[in-house]
Amino acid sequence: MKQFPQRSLSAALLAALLGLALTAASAPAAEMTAEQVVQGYLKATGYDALKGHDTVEIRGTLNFNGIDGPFVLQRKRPGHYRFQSTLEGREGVVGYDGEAAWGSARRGGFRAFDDSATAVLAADEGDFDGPLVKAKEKGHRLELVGTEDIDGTATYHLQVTLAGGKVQHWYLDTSTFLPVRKTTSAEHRRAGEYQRVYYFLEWADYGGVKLPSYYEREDRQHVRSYTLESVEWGKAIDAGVFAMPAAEPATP
Amino acid sequence: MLRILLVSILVGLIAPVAVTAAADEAPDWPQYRGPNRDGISAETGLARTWPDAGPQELWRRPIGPAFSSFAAVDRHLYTTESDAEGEYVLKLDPITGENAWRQKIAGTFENNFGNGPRATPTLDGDRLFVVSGSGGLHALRSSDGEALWSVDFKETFGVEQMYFGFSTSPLVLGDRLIVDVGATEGRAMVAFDKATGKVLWQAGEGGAAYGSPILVEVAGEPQLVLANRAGVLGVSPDGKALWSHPWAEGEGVKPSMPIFVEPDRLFVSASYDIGALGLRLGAEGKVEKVWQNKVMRNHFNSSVQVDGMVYGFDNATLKCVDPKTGEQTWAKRGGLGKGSLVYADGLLVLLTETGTLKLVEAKPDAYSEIASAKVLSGRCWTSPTLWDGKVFLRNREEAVAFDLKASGPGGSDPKAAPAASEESRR
Repeated sequence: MKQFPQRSLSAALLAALLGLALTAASAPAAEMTAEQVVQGYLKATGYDALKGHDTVEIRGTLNFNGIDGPFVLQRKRPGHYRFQSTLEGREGVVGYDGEAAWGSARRGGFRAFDDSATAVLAADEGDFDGPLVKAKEKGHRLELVGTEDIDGTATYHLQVTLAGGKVQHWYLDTSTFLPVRKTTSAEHRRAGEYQRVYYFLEWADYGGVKLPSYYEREDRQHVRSYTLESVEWGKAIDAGVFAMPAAEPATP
Repeated sequence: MLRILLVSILVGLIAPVAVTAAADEAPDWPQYRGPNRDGISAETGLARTWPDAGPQELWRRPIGPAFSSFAAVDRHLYTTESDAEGEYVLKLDPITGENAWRQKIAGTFENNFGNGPRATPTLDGDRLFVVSGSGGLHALRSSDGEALWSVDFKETFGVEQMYFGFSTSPLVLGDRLIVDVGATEGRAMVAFDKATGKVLWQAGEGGAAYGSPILVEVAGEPQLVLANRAGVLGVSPDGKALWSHPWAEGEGVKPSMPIFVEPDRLFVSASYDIGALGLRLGAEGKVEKVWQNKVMRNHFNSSVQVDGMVYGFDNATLKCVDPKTGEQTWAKRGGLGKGSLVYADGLLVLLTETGTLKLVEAKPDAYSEIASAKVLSGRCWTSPTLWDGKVFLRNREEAVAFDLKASGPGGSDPKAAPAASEESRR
């Protein structure tokens, strides 16, 4: 009978045990489905609490290319959105009233977004719950691409094809299910389509709902950061604030 | 044997002079990004810890809008500012921050992101060369600021005013002044007679961007390298176009200054969703693309290269990248914005976009921040200047100087923690 040297046996045993351990550790990742990742996300972000709210008003500080200014973000179910910021005395607004999206025009006044930009805004910022919630009902398609290292964090990479065809990529921390990064499709007036990137750097609990309390956004060369200072759920918000103001229409 | 002996004698004669000079006076920082235009300083002995309030502040003063950094020569600082009436070059005392003189060079270039000049003055003997935001190349006498000559790029070369302003900082090469004019018909890079402003030669294609020319040596031959809106190009010192490499794609490519990695590599980067390019240069104008990806998207401020690795801002993410392969070794995101950085004494001395000064160890394996202090506010797009153990910083409203060698009260105490700014917690 052949006898294995003790060291080799130990090494073999160790390798086998290590292999088993690795298999066990990676099994959940390998066997996860997109739906399970979304379930993890819903639990992590407190969707049970979120679905009990119809409005939210978030106040904070926006930094755009080094300049700080206040912002107010308002949302109202089913799909109303308004973001207003003031930087160096200049006010900027983006709104969506459930049908039409609009924003501040470069030369003053406001302009209506085209259909493509409206669809993107409606499916993302304009969606009170976000596109991962009831994605199928909304016509979005989810695919778990796999796990991916994002600057040192292991993430689940979810590809979300919105009902309109635009594609988003979500990267959720495998240990917390909180997003660390998201890329969305955006349009530059000269350069065309590009990837807008969100970096979710800090999360906090606001009345049972977890929101990114500090995040950054890159649009080609432009960098914005958002620091949340207050979150008020259930605030009465007049639906009129979400519609494009009729006065002072401007040429886009 | 005789040659070795001669070299030994020469080294023996020169070395004591060099040591004496180094002990008596700090090495100059005569132009944008330092002596070699690469953001590298020979400073040593920087303090590793700061008091809670940050490094010792030497002075702080108002300054008009501009994005110029400082040049430091012969114990004076030079930079620019603007007001409603025009753009000016300033000569300052580096110890007090007070003006020695202030000379108007042009009308005010106005821009949504900030008015005034973008370029940094270049010092050469008793001459100073600077480009205004509206594209005027100006030569001044550095002792008293007297205007010597000027050339208007728009009048002379027919270039259009760029939206973001002319940003090129002149490079002195012998009796020539090399400038990224960005004109059409083979006039991207222009050499001027530095004594008169006369055009000596013109070469290359492509509009001007954020960067400025650099001088490198490839296969024993010097060449001028410029990254512009068309691509990257190499030109011999006598104006012969040696090579060019286009950007593959992208609207509005505006690269920052290239980084040369000896003996033959070039690292070029641009924001606007473009990315980085690794080139290998060879003799007789040979150029080869080694890699291209989006690992590093320097906006207007370039990276630095230390021990063969490149450290810089991929928009608002600080990264360490291997310039030979384009692979990232680490990334640090959060609260940095589109910062700027220089290197000295094993450290990246970086200023965040919102005015936090940080010391980060230049290590390829991990981000390692050892000190941090909020020193400015507002939009801080100007890269630091290091001279004589001091760092000179500015935004569009204030200029400030800090002593980076003195630990200050409590600074030498290993228990003294770096100032924990809001940003450094991220």
